[in-house]
Amino acid sequence: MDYSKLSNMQLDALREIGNIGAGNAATALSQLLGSKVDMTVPNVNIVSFDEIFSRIGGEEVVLGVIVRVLGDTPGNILFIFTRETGMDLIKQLTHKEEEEISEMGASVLCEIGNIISGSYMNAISKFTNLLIMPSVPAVTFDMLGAILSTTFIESEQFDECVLDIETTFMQDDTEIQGYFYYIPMPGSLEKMLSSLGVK
Amino acid sequence: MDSVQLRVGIGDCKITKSPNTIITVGLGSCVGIALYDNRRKIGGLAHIMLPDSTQFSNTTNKYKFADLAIKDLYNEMLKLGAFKNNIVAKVAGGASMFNFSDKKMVMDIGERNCVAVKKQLNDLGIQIISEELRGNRGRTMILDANDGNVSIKTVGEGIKVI
Repeated sequence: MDYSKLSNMQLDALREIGNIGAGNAATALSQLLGSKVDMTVPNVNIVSFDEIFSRIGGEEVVLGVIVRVLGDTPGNILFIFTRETGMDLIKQLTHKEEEEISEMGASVLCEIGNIISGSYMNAISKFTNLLIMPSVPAVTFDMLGAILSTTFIESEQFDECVLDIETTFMQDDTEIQGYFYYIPMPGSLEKMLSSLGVK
Repeated sequence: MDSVQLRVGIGDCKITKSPNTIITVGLGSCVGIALYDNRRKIGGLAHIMLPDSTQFSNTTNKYKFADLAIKDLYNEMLKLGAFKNNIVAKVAGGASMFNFSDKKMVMDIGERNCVAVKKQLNDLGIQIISEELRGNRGRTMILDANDGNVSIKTVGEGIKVI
């Protein structure tokens, strides 16, 4: 599929899919943290590979939790946040202050990734009637450029034009800034759109 | 003469002469290939994403692929006056970024890139004099065209010169 040729109707449908997924994920996160979590209306980003990298610089170091999307619409879900946000999430859930991310801390972040991506996929699965399952998550603390490029390549998206659905989560007083990407493999979007009857 | 730092993007390649440097940031499963002619002080750096162009119909950007990018970089260096027998290579990257506990979820693109890069260099008769491949960390690579040194930056591990 040439993403630059998606119609407005198709883009709206994809945004709505993202919205339903992210809405459920925000609710799950808010229940987990016991406080209000807001989210932005998802963006469907159709950009060139180069643009992603010129925009982010690539050397910024972030925490990334990745989950493989399995089933009818394979792809990857990537949850990116700053080290401060990661530390803060660990503190909120374990009530312990950490200097470095311990094994326990990493598994807390994995669990957050698990819950968020699970609720995101469940919501999309129900909405589209497709079978969509998450893998066990993996967590990494590394350069944003390396994380993003590897995720896109592993999603078999390496054409000039790549697509992701992006949402930002915010927790008002503590400023959780988390970027949430769903990066579908080729063919997955077509399946979602056709099961919704959007041509 | 002031030195300039050139920047190589993803699926991209640049060539320069002393005293300039070339940088490429955020190598994950991608591999960075630095070629260098020590006598002429000509250096080139490519940042490839995929092992093999023959698997794809769309190969408009040849610098994405290990096989095409290295060949092209090599030829461009010869055009700029580098000598065949002087050119050596230093390579870095090809990591497996995501350490899934379920090994079935680990993809081997980094590994395949490493293998393809080595094969291509071998086919062209270019010797790899040092390498920093695989592992599970992202890397930034800087080639200094003055001495052929390649600095590798890794998160949490500082800078290593190879």
